[in-house]
Amino acid sequence: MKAEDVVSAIENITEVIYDVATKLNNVISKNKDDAEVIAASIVHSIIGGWTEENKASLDAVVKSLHARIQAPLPEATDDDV
Amino acid sequence: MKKQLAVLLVAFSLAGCAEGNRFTSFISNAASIQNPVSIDDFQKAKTAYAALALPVANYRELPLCKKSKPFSISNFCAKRSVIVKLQEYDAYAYDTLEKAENYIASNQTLNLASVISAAKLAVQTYQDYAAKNGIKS
Repeated sequence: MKAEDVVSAIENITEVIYDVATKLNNVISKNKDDAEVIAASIVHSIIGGWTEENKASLDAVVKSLHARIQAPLPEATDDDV
Repeated sequence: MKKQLAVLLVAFSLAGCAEGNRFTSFISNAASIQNPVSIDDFQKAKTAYAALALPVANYRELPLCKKSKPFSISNFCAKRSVIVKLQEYDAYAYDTLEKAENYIASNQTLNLASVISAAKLAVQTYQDYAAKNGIKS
């Protein structure tokens, strides 16, 4: 294999890794606030101490996640899995 | 023994209406404590739903996998058929949680255990399907 082929292969792999990392990072940052509320709810489910504020925060997260899940799908095509 | 019981009964009968109400309230509270399903269980079920809904929502928002462009490390995608099923389970779990919440808010207690149990079961069924497809809370 030529030196330029090796450099090109490394660049391609770097691009894939960077792309994957960017996608994961976008997902992580988008979920951080929801994850904090859920983590607090898990703690309260185990040790108690629910407040009305905790319940309201969980309620808002549940409604928002439900809406995201139920968002309509694009029209089906023969190419779908 | 009979004498002690008689004294106890007289004591209750002399206690009057206010004391009677307190006694009824105590029995009612004790009954709810002994109930195997409580309002805390509802909050637990709602938390379990949220913990599952977060990865499901992320999965839902991935681009759709295509026969011509399947899932790979450089193509994160979601199967349409799995999303459709997840939406069904999600809708049912959300509805049963909402019904349980409305029931709790109405201060009814007769069917409390059954509405909370239904919500727990719906969330569990949703979790099982998601886990089978690699989506875990």
